[in-house]
Amino acid sequence: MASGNITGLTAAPVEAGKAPSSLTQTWWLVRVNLFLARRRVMSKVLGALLVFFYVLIAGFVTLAYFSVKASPTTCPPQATGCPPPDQLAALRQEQLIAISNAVTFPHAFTVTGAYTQFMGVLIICIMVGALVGGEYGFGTHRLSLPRGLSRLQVLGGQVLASAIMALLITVGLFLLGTLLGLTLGPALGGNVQGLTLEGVRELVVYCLAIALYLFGYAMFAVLFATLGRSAAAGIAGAIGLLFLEFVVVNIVFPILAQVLSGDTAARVAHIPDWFPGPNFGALVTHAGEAPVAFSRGGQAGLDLTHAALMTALYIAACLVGSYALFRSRDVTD
Amino acid sequence: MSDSTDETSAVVLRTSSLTKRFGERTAVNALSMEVHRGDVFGLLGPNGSGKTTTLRMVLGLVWPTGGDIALFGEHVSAANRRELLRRVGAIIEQPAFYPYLTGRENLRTVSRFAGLAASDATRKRIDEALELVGLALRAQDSYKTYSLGMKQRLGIAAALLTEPDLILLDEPTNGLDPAGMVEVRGLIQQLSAQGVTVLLSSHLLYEVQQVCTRVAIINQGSVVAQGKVTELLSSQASLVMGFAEPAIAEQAMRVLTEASQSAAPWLQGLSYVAPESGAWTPPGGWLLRADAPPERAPDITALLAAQGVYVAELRHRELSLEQYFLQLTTPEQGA
Repeated sequence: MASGNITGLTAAPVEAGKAPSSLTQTWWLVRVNLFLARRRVMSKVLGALLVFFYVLIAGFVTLAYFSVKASPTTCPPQATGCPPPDQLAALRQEQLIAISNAVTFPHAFTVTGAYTQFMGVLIICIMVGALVGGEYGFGTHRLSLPRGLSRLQVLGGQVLASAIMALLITVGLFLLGTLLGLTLGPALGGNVQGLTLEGVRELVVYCLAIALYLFGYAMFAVLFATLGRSAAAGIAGAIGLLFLEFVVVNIVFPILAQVLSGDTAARVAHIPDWFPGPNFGALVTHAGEAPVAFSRGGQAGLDLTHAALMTALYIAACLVGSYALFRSRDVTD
Repeated sequence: MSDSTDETSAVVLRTSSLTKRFGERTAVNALSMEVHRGDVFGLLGPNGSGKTTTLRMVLGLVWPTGGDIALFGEHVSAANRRELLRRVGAIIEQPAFYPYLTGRENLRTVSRFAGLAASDATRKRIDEALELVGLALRAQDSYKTYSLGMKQRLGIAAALLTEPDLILLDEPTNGLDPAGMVEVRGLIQQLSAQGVTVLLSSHLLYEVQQVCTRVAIINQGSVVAQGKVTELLSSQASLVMGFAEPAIAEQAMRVLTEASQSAAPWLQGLSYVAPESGAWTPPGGWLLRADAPPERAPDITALLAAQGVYVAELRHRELSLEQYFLQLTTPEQGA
């Protein structure tokens, strides 16, 4: 170090030999990335939207509940094939119970899980795409890399921060789900049920599987942002993949499978089994199978080993691809 | 390049045959330079000559295609880059910071990148750096509201955070008003006085001449001149002579040309040159120039007087850094 203090700056900034370890420094980067994500106005807006739409869904459920409740128990005079009033009342009661159960603890987590897999994944793709791509847009790699950080550390910090963000979004929404399940559900006549130890285990694994689902798509956002050197590329790439996958898996391949016949149709019908979404989703389905069955109504189950391997493969491919690009690339922004 | 240990330890930055190609284009071509401890080293060159690419390679932002970089006497590799760069502060081109963070938050972020713990000492250091560059009152404002000059100041504050041994400043006065430029110049001199080595890239040659002790001039990716400013300029020193009549000037040219081939081999570069703007213009409009140091003036007058040729005016002419730079980097000037 230069002898004396530079230009009258008195506080000693670096103590000799006290440089943080590589791991400590990477953890600091994770925290910096989380701080950067938190300080963006966009993150606050997205967070607010995430909560707002969740509350809106709760509002619609309440509206549906009261609409059903207000429906008449007798048929109009000229109606044909109308069930008798007592049967109609029983049917209405069944509907009311189904609606209130959907927002009652612990079954409210089914709605929450589905919501997280839809809205949460959009939000994390935007946040992670902006986080990684923003470094290119603002030229802020010039702040980190010349301080001696390796590209692996910089990318590692972003990836770990993305994992924490995926977990925070999931846990946050599940806390909202808990609140909903313990307030709105009972208010609508739902019957709160306690969780056994197995139920808690299922909830934790289900929650983690959804966080992994979000993280998987977040890694695509990292890859696309690195590939396109911009936030727009990261966001558009990951969300584009989501929608493309939705269309291909739910529309194109089912139609093809119907149009074709025999072995070809069967093979075509199984092509989506190799896509990221069905595999990420299958993990969630498996995680929430029993005893509470949080994931009922989820995607048809692929084999767990297949889903786990494919998920690991996709995440690894995104990470290796991103690192290979970042590692070999000159920072000229 | 010396192998002496003492001299090697005095070399803070050395590039050897440093080369960078972007596809077919060679941005930096076998560039070798040495920055010595305590230097205020000016890296000069026209736009696109490879200055910023060179600095980016030193900082690990751009990977060299060939050649070697040594910092503080050690070859920079993946294994030691982190430790070596911790001793370097830098601003590369326009300062880049997070626009949605305040000035203080940006410096806090940089301090974490630099491996400084979130301690009271670091916080104090940040406050002092902000004070030093005159941003203390705007520290809580968002970076995106800063003027270009303020952004540049924040960049300088960031470069000073870790008390570096070597500071790389790429166009540090860009966007600063005249008072700000004077302040930065003062700061550079202050840093140098305290033993910090400064590598300065600038287009403002007058400024470079004022603060730099050594320079490297690069053109089209290659070093075309390197050394102490005073030595480089004095190597270009010449004597210019004016004569009362054009015919005498022609006679003087003949006398000196003959002398340079026999009795006065030190007499080189004889040519007719135009007078500088505002200087005395002799009849005929041309001066006679000889590449010779000032101490040779009596010899020249003696040579001419021996042949009955008398000089009306004899002046020592030293190029400014700007003239020297243009001579080396502008094709017409060089020719």
